[in-house]
Amino acid sequence: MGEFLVRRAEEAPLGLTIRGLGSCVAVFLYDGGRGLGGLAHVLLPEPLEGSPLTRPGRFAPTAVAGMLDEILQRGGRRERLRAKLAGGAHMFSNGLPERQTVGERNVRAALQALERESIPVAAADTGGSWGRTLLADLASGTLRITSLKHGASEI
Amino acid sequence: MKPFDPATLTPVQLAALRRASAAGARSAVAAISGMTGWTLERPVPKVRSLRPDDVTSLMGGAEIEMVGLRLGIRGEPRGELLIALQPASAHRILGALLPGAPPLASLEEMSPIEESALREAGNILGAAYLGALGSTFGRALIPTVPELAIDMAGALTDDLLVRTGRGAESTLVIEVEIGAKDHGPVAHLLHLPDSGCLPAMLAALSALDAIRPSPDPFGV
Repeated sequence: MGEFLVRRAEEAPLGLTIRGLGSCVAVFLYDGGRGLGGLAHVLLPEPLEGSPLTRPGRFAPTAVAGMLDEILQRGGRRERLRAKLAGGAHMFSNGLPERQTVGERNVRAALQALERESIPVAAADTGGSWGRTLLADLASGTLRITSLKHGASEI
Repeated sequence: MKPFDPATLTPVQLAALRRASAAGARSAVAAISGMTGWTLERPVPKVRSLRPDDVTSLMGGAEIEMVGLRLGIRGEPRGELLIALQPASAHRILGALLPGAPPLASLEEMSPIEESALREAGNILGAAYLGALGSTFGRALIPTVPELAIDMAGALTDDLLVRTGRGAESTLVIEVEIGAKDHGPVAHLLHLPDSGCLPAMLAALSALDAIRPSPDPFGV
């Protein structure tokens, strides 16, 4: 949580995984041509005043920028990069209508960061009120999503 | 201002927090015991500074299904409280709060009445814990209206960390595991005090320690 990992498919043949994702948002960036990609588990839309910046993976803009740098350093091609997003749920309900949730803010911040870097978003499964477990396949760029409430799906 | 880093807490400060939370934990256990009729084990709170990943894997694993009741804490120190019930405990509590209602085959089938009953259980347990905790250092800790989620434990704690984390390296977590001799684990209580409020809470606790003759004023 609050970190990102960049790997080649052969370094992570089982893929990259996040278990029990709630209102955090996961950003999966991949270069399909190279079988290279990264998965970030982003905690917050942006650094707050006084937040330490030793962990760029915790915040949407720094996670996307950090992951992009590492993918490019490892031979990824910017024009081939695609992103997939998942998470940003609104987990807890008090039975009343909600204002904008932190999950939604996380998703919006991740989308803005990707747009700034001109990385197209190929697919997204965000929002809702349920937790998700993710498995990102680096060779195919498939993101497998399972939840207790809705079973398994792929984007 | 640089945020307070809970990793810098001394053993003496951690012990003071442990004693205070033990009073809250005993009160919460008495409330659960009253609702379920189960004989519960004496709770021993753990007070630790944890990395976010370690918080996610508390309660037996990130993908275990739990019934989460989240309460914000108003007053000083502010913070977040998660009361996570094992599904079997939630069924038992529903039976106690809604006598005569037919038992649910699954928690997925809950009506708004059952959801509301579980939130009420969150109110009772949260008030029991926070009332006893706050009284150890002379502060009123007021819970917000409880919110409910039934989902993976990791997704529940994830939400708590988003609300309190500020992206810090580590978070102070007061963890109370509640178990029954005959039923195994019953519930988990996670209290994350807002790190900005910790210095005031510690000051209140140490002022109390200074004027009390016993080194163990709460009998823990």
